[in-house]
Amino acid sequence: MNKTVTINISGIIFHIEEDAYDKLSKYLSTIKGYFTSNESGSEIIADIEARIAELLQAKVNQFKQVVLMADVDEVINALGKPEEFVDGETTNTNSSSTQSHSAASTDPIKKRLFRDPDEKAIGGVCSGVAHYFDIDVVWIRLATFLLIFFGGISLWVYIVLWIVIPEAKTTADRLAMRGEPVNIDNISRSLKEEMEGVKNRMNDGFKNAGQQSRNGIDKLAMILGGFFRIIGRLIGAFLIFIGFMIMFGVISTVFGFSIAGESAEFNDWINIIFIDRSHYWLAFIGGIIVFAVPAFMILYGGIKLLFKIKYSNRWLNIGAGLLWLIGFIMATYAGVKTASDFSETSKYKESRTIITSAEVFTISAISEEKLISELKIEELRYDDHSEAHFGHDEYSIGEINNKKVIVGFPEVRVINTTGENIEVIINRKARGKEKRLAYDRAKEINYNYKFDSTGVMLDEIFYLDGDQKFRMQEIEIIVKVPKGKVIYLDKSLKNVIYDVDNVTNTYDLDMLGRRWTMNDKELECLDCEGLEKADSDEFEHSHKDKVKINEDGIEVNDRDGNHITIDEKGVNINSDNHEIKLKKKAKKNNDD
Amino acid sequence: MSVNSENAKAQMRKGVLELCILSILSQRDAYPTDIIEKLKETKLVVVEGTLYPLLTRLKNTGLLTYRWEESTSGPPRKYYKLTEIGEQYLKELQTSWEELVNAVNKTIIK
Repeated sequence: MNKTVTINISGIIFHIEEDAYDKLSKYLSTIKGYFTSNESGSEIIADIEARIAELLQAKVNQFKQVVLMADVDEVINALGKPEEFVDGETTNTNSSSTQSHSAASTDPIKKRLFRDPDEKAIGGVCSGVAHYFDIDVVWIRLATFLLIFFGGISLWVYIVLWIVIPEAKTTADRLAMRGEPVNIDNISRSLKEEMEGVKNRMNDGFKNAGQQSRNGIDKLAMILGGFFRIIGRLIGAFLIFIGFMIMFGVISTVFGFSIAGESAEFNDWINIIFIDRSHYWLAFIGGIIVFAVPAFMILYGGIKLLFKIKYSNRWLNIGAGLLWLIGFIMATYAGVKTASDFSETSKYKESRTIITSAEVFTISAISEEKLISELKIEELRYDDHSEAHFGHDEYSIGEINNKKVIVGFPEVRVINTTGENIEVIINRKARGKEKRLAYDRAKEINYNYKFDSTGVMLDEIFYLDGDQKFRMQEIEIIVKVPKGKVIYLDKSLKNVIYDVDNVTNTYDLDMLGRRWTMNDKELECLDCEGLEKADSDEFEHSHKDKVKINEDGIEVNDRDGNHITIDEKGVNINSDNHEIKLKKKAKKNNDD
Repeated sequence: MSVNSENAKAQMRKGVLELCILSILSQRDAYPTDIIEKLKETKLVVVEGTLYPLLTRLKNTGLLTYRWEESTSGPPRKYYKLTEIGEQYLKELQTSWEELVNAVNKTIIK
């Protein structure tokens, strides 16, 4: 005993066995799938159904009231398999061979992304994309061209797409390329149809393998599959976005570097830091590869996911991995090589004793401006710093006789000595791969100074000439002063003086323009009247003119030594020629 | 295993199907089933399904027209007829067919 289903075809009622019904209904829906893109699709389907009804009617009668599986088979035989009769209609010229492409043709014709070989300008990427989105190819080409100026995005994307998107080779491909318009309705419908198609394919597969047909778990798997496909598309879009961003960054950097590379200053620095030009290029290119290759792969993966392209080329993946590794090695090598040349420090010492009986020994600096003209340095490339106190770690690039030189500032310190005479020590320091190398480099630093019995005049700058590389060269000048000797720190030392120990802990700059005498340990100020004693924790600038107002009272000092004090003791006014004291009321008043 | 020529044959048949259908209809008006019968006799059509889309297309192009006829053995059927444009078109097809046959014969006969 079998179950029967009642159906109507073309307005005629039929009783049909359940499994015969399944087969017939599958047949009809496959046909429907074929003709959805055809304008007269519904008419054709109606004609076919009418013919089916006609055929089936001949098969039932009073004694055999139900349509059986065998009947359905005969009908399908007579009418033919869908793929056999569809092809002549959708193309005008050739038709693709159906027998060999049975897998492809049981799918309904839906739009897939192909490169168009017939309408290509370069690789057919733009025309393929244009077909997919139903936009005129002109707009796509225009957009591609414009995006070149936005960090060259379109170039990268174009290359990725060229590799990933297949070319439409057969007519079926060309059809699929132009297929249905892609909009939300069609996407959900085509998703449903795809699931139907998968279901049918699985049924066929099962039948061929002789297995039982579907059960609940298979249905669930198919629904989940559809769900994951949507997620896959979303992830694809996201990956594309990320890939774009990184690419954009990389390309802007390259662009920026190439612009900077044109600027002479950047070039100069590159030249003097890196051992040679090749190291620089190694590092630069290596760096680009390290960032660009992953960005490219992300973009690639994203596009594949979004457009459901199953292209997978293991050589591409392996190649990308290798390329990245090479880039990484390049950058690391160049970086390490260069850095190693900074690893050791060495010092070259030059010392001179100056015997002088001058009362005051002046330490001053020959200003950079003067030196510039003397050394004939064409220009020093940094901003005018006449006001600022330049740090001791500042370096700049200048030019002597049309050759680039590196310019730096020495540090000047004053300490005491147990010896009897003033000693000037010049310490040249530099770095290198080995101490020997560093030592040689240190020795080569160009620095001069002059002295006579009244003082020593130090060059404000030192320079590295010609082909010397920048290797953290420093000059430290130590002036050793014996106890009791008086020195005068000239204001020209403003850029080179560095942390000189003194009794009052006066800040370096404030020490200038004064005389100091050396005691057991450190300098003591001789001209510091009115100078506020600074705590070592405080960084107050002392001012010569001072007004101090606090809870103790008022104190006013000026540079000439005049001062006024008003506190609990009274009022005290002192100048060179006058003095007024007003004591507490309880005591007697003094008049002048 | 020898190479299957079924595909090529099917292609050739498809090419001439229009011409044959129009010719049949030029002799007399007919139901689709009649046309199928004729084509089956000459082995030009193997499956009926090929016909329906083709007939509809020819109708849409204006080469054919039809009217509905009631039937005792089933749903109403379309009764096809050649139009004037169809007749002219057929003449052109016949001419090109003859040219084609000549050309092919010349090519394959040494």
